[in-house]
Amino acid sequence: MSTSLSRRRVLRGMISGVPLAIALPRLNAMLDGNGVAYASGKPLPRRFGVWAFANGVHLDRWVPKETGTAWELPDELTPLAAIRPHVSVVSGMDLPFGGRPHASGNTVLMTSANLKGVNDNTYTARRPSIDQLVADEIGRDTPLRSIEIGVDDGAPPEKGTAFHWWSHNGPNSPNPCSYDCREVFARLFRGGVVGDVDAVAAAEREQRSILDAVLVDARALQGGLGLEDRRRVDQHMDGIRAIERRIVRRKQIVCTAPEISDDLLIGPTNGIDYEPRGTRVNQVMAELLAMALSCDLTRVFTYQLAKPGSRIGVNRLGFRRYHDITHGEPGDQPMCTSAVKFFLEELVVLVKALERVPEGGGTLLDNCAMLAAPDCTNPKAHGHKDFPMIVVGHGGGKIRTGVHHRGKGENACAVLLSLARTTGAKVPTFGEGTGQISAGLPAIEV
Amino acid sequence: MRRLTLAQYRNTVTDLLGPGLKIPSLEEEPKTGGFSTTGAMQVATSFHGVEQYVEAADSLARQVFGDPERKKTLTSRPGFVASFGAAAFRRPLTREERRRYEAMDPRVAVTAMLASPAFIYVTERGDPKPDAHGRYRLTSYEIATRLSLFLWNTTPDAELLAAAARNELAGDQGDRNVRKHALRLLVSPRARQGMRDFFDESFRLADAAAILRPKQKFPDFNYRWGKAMREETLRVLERNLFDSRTDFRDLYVTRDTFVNGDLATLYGVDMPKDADFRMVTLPAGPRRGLLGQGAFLAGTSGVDKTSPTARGKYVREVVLCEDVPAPPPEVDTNLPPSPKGENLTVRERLEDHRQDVGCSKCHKFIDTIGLAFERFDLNGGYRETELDKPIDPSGELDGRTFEDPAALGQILAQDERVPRCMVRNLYRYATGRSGEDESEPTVNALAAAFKASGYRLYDAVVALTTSEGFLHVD
Repeated sequence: MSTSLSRRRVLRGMISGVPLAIALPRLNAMLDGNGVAYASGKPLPRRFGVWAFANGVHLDRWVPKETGTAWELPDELTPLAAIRPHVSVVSGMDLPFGGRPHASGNTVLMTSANLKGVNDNTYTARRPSIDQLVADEIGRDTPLRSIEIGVDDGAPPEKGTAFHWWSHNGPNSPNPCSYDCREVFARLFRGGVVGDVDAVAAAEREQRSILDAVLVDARALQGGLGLEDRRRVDQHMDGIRAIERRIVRRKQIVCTAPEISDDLLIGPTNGIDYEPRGTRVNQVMAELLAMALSCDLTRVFTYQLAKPGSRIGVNRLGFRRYHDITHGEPGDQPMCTSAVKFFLEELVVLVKALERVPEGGGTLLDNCAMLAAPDCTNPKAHGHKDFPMIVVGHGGGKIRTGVHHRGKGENACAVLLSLARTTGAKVPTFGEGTGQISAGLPAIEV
Repeated sequence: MRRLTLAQYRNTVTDLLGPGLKIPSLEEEPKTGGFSTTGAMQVATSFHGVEQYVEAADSLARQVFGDPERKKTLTSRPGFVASFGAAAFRRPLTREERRRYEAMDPRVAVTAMLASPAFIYVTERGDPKPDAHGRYRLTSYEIATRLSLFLWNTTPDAELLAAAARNELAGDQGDRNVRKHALRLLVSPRARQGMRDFFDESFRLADAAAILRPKQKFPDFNYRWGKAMREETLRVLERNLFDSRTDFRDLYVTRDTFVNGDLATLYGVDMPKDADFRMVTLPAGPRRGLLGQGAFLAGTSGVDKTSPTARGKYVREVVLCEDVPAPPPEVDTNLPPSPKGENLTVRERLEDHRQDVGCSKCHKFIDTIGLAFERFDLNGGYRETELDKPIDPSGELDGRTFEDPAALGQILAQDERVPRCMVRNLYRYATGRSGEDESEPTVNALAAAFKASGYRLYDAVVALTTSEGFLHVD
């Protein structure tokens, strides 16, 4: 159905002086007369994502004084002015479990369950994170069930997977981020042009024979293994089957592969200083993600701008290891505040990229529901009460934007459940033990 | 079941297909349990990670088959699919596997084998039948693999696979052959690289190699220093293990070390600035042993100041193998302003901090060790004062006070926890196991043998390869 689409809509922008030209599919051509659904009658896809930063915020400069729809942006939220119609702020809700300064933030938020101890002070997730619960339900419809993107990978040398990653398939089964733009681009558009199905048919046959062999070997490998190892092989087989499905789904892609200048496809920041490289990586990754979502290559994403406990350095703002100053900066921590605002400016880059993509009668952002949050509440103490959360996107009209909701210590994970369900995924319950919930947060639902 | 670590994958691919190939990127490695090998025993491969393995296999096979020379080397032997498969899977192919792979185009077969879980994962099932002592010994092939991954950090070589094919490593009588092969592998330069990889993880030397300092405050800082510090410590450890074979505990008291021009300046040794590494005996003074080296002193420091807490934590975790819990959330780990004013040394500030009952429990446990190193600045240079006040280098370890780091070195050299920690780390790294309980008997036995050998690390490594825990499944 995409073969006739030869012309491309080209997005133009400048990235640190390098012209950026990323082609976008003419998705609208596939839509019905009103532009709100596919010609086939299928509704436009809804997307769910999580955007992560690190080391907390200062609640006295973050939480709006007023609740409801009329509220001023406090100092640390001022970068959101640029995207204000598309965001809501949620405060006053707590994570259901604590215990570890960093890992408890991201991993409890994503699972609504306590951490699982491994040994020697290392922790992993007890359950699959919510992005993967959504992917289990809607990820089969797209070539990739989910994508995990990272920008800065500087972090303290902690050991457990709960510390490093927001997305988990289960205990000791994290979904690490890709930090390399080239790698992400290749993963999304490999085999690239979807228009010419016949040309890749031979390659597909070969790939299938390889994957078949791998599955046979994997099954043979399972014999005599213990339960946990069998699960690991199961996970590997799930990965192989996901590639197989991708071969099928590839034919349904409504995009042509975009052209992107090779010098934009840059690698990880590895950084002493986040700038200028990190800024560029963030811009390119934001465009790549917008393309992936627009082309319906995936509907679920995790975007770790920074790792939990991030050691990101921004020389311009006066620090070389962010985590050090969160504990070490005395007084009112003006440097940490500038770091929080810096992160939010990077968030705005992504949101703007989503907003630039036309879709149906509006933009891609209308059909996204995203949570932006750090890995702990505050820089100094790294707690998990009154967890700072920003809701971004309209979730296909199911999410209320423009509000500040202040809770009374309820489970913060309810916000994620509301956002997740906008995709059509049911996620009947979320979490475990005292964290288990079956209802989202009505205050942000339409 | 262990996944090949990134280093093992890289080395194995080079051994199987020849040097000079571009090795595609794979999933980031978890260090759950403290080592790459312990993480590889526990963590599953993500969806993206599986894609990466499949693509890496495709890329590697295309590189080989796209190069006539490489292709010829690989495929000219008759029955190459079976022999390549045996090398890749570290065991002969089954008849079914052989039939299946031989039916494929050669490049596709190589791709499929490199993408196979039988290649990526190392299984250690053991013999199905227990031995006379009720234990399940690893099979000959499994022992060959474990031995090679431990000592060379790569797949077993042809000699080991041949010994496994003759089943020479099985049964109690196999111990002699395991030992013979361990000694053979240890003679090779590849063992030096393999054990360097172990030391690098065990002593957290990547932290040292990554040190950075703000330019404004440290205009003379050179990024080469951290790399030189890592190399210094690796050379000292390598020499102790392979060359001098002296008492391992000397490493905490010796004045002998390796320096190049960069480090010579730092340590006050007279040497040309561009000199390569050579062994020196440092002048008499407080700088002694591993804990007088830059890798420890600078690797544990923050970007612009020392951290006695991090240094104490390192001694607890790396030297003594003791756990230090992270501070609980909701605790402000920022040192509060002191009522005594601003002009305080790190020691004074931390002593204030320990007045807080909540913090003192853990901090007493680590800071009293770390503070003793305050005469070494954040780059490992020697100083006598901080804020124009003389630095007090005394400290305390578990109730024993000492006057300076040299005296701490003497205490550590007599502390039974230090050699036990070393063999425990060797054991964890070699087997991928990381639970304290199940490994305790083997580690205790190894510690006793280590002591009996006069703490010769070389003997400990050899003893480990024929130990109960190394040769048997749980």
